[in-house]
Amino acid sequence: MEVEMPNELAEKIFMISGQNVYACYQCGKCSAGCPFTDYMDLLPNVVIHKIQLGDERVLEAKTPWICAACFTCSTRCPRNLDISKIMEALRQITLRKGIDRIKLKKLEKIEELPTIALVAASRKLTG
Amino acid sequence: MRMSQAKTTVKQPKMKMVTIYVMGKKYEVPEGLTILKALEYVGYRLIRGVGCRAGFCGACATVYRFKDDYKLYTGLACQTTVKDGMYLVMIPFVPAKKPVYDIEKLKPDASTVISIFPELTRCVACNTCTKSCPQEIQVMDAVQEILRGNLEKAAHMVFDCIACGICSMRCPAEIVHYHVFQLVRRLYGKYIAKKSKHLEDKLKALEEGAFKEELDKLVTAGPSVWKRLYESREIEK
Amino acid sequence: MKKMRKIMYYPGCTIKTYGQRYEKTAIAVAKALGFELVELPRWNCCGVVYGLSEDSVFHHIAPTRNLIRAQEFSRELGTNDLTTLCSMCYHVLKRVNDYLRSNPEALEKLNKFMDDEEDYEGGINVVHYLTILRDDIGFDKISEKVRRRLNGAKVACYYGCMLVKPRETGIDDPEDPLIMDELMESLGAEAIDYPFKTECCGAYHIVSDKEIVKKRAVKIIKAALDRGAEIIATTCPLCHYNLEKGMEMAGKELRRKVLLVYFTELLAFALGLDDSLEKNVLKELKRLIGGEK
Repeated sequence: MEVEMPNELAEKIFMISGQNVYACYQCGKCSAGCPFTDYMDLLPNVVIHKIQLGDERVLEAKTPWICAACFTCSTRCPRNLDISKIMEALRQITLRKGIDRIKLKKLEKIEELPTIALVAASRKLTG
Repeated sequence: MRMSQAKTTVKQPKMKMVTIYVMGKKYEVPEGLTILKALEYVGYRLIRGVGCRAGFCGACATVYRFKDDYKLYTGLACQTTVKDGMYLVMIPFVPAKKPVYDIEKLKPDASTVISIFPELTRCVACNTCTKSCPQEIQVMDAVQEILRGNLEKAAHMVFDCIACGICSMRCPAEIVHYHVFQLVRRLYGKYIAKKSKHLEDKLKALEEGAFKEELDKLVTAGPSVWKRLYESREIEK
Repeated sequence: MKKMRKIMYYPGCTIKTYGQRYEKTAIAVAKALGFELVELPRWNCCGVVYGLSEDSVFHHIAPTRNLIRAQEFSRELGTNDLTTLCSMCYHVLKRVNDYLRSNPEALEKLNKFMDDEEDYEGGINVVHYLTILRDDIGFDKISEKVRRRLNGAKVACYYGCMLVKPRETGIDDPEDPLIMDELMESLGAEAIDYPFKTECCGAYHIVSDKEIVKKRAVKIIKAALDRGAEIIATTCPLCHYNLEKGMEMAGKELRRKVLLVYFTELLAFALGLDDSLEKNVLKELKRLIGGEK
């Protein structure tokens, strides 16, 4: 589908996630339901707003890395926007440059972790 | 009569030649040669990327393609014959730092292997490793068996691994399979495999001096006795 | 003798290591209820998380390969149903299956890439173990087979994220699921209602940000404890590990500890399948609920 985006960041997010950030009208339901906002620097709805404005500094925020992809936001969004896919797109932009969020070899007490946790972390936080 | 005027000459059958490209440069080589022999035929002198020449040491990993075919093929240079239109390059070395571990302190389970090689959790089951293996090992399946702790099964599956490194070069998860497999085989051999009772008994007997007298006699016997004993072995008859 | 219904079973890596007690009780319970879980041959790790990038099918390879294995095995076993226990495995397999069924382009791309396998045709049905219990067996039938009623034991059912979200993939309502609660009630337990039964446990943050998991665990367990829960039942080995580890890290922050079990362990206990339970779990359940069959 050909959609013209007003800025490069929104376009890139659309290419990776298939989500049009301009559908968001800032109701805040995603941020209200997100279990991890206490540990984030920017709220999920603020992140979407920044993408709408084309503010590339959002790529340096902690928020996409704190997101646990629990899908609460996506389930509740009244505009059927898949916010978890938008967060994944933000992560992918960094990961695809070869910049991993965690160093697998530097993890502490790795032998205590169940395989499921390590595989999930590898998928989400390494490229 | 000069040799050059001799009437009888042996007719040489015309050798069938094939065209190969080594790192992009075109050569004509006789059909039926192995890649290794073909490289030496055209003048390469190999000091790396060559070893036993018998398909066992894994030194001569080679990658090649054919015209109009997107597929990437792999093989050992000493075991693969040249084909017309082969575009090839040798991979004489695969970079992979050996991990340091104390086998005495390890437990034979999945967590141990994963803690030393956490990149195993990045495996996406793409099967590129299996497709690359010149020994026809089910590499991906072996990695999966390791992830679920079936170290015995994995150790048997990877017995034929010669550590050529082609799988590791192609793996998108950057796993170094041959190092992982070596650890698994070591863990299997040390902790899981059945112990050989007669070996242990014999070693114990040795330590307790059961063969001391015989050995001392042999050691001090001298070269003429050794030569005689060597030549009269059962195996020589 | 009535032939046991066979169904293909995908275990997942963690069930074979950290979650062995989950599998052991699930297999025993299935047998007692008249169906057999037959393990899929040559399965591989599902990948745990569903690939959320629309422009890449890379992370769909691993789950699709499992669906192909199921397709091969379905011809031998005579069923197209594939079941699993772990919430995350269920989520990935079901979601990929639905995606491939509605996206012929992506399916073709994956089939072309996996040229070492037969083409996946989309005929496998991914169904979670709980759904089989509710729809194929029926909770009342299970209730009839109970040999040890759970004596009104207060059980808080923890669903987590992956079993019920998103709406299209989930086995029940994402905001107020009741399937596990109803199962527990049919066993004679009292299912505790509490606000965080679908709140995320922290998932992979246990690897690099343990503090987040501790805070989540405290929030979830405290809410359950405040409403009198004695046992928390879960469907996912990661949730189980995170809540257990969170409880350990929280220490005195939680006024008392709660017993964390997989729902199949409570089922096994109720059906009197003591041999399938781990000794210390059996002991704890007997202490909390009562021992006579």
